Amino acid sequence: MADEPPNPLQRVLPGGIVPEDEVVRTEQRWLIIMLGMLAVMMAVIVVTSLTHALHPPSNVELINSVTLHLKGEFVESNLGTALEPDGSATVRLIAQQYSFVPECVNVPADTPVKFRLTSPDVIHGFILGDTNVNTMVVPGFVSEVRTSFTTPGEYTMPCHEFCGVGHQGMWARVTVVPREQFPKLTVVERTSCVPQ
Amino acid sequence: MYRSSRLALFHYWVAFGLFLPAVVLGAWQMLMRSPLPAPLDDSDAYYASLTLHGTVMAYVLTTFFAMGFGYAVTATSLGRPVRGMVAAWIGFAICLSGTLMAAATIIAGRASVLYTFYPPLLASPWYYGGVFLLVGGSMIWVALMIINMAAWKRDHPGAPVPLAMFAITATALLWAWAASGVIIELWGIILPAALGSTTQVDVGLGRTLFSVTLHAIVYFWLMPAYIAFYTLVPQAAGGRLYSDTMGRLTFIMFLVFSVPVGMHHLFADPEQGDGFKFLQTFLTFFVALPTLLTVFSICASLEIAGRARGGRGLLGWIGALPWEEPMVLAVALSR
Repeated sequence: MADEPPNPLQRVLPGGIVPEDEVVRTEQRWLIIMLGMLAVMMAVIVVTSLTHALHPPSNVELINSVTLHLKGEFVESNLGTALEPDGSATVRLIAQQYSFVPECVNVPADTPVKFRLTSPDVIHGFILGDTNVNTMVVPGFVSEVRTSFTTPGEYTMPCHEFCGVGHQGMWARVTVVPREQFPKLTVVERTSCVPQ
Repeated sequence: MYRSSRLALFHYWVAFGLFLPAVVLGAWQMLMRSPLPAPLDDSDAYYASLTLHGTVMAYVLTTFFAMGFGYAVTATSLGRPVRGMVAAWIGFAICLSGTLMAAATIIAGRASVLYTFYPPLLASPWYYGGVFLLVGGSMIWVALMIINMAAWKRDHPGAPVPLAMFAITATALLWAWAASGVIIELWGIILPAALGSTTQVDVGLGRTLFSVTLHAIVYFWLMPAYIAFYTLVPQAAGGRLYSDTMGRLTFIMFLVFSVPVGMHHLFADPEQGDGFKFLQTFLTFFVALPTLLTVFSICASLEIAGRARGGRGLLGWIGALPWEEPMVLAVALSR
């Protein structure tokens, strides 16, 4: 197009500061470096996910949030910590505006612990400081996270997803006790550290 | 051309007119969350202010700035007035009325659900309606960008579209795709619930749809910044763009890789499976490619400019750049 105005972005500079073939060559070199960087970063992800057995909370388990307080595993009498026949612990919690039920749970140290949570109302979040526990609690789904505590002590679990005006007051505690101090529970017994 | 400039300027006035109060709200929210004393310590006011801050920063500033920038780029890069001036002003009016509707509802304390909505939390339908008009109205702008580029191509057969116009059209297509998530969520899930015609909300679906929009909002203002890097800075610095092809490749990559990127905000969600999250980790990483390309191209363009102005040696070209040019200083520092 002879009548087109020359594109100012492509004008050739005096003195041939950067010849065209040099542009192409450096671009190709940079492309290889870029892809190399990306390959390294992705390899790091793959290796760490495999060696650390990374499992984000992804159990995609549905539950009817309207009837969960009436029947099934989230009825009130079944909430709190249960001991499984294999020695592991399962903690069932309900997150609701603006509290966790129960608001304090106790678990044994050096034991596989499975948290199962759901919500009857809106979206909440569940996070335990200094651990790998972090999940959204979405109504209609059961969130499941697994961890084990090596250090006895008290961990706070604030709701970390906005759930309404009372959001900042919504938090609870997990008390980790040495394994030998944990109560011996039968299969149907549940425990929590809520003051009676 | 005067009418095109006025169109762009009106968009900027709305964008920055609301940006300033939102900045003040942000400072107050910081005080509220810090040990420092904050005036008006009240959680109702805090969440209303958080919603207004988020709505202005994520939807209003972004949309109005990108639209105004798009009209300015169309007029300057094609060297002719924007086509479809009437439609553009209608779009402006729809977006502005949506903005005012949403803002009034938030200020009235009827919409403290944050800009991310979090259904099944429900606000007044006026808030959702306002956001729907704002985002939906910007689709007129998307259509105008495509129409203006197509019209120029028709008039100049065989000539490549100027890079700036090419890039702003890629931005418009990106926004059309990205906004589809929030538009479908509002129309299909939230508005029916807020108006009382449904009692159950599919929360997992709502979160998934919103994730399509959530992260891509960032690209809606990032792309105009990149257009400035590629088209305004090399000229302002007195050089030329290192490579036009790499510029176009960058914008195509952004368009492709930004499509699935919002999913990484759902990595802690129970409604998405492990395998899908693993796949999304990689797709999210690909966005690094256009960014790395840009770092190289813009640094190289500035080096050309510096050397053309007499800079010598390994780093001498940096000092030779025209740092007194606001465009060079601002954009070089923003990198």
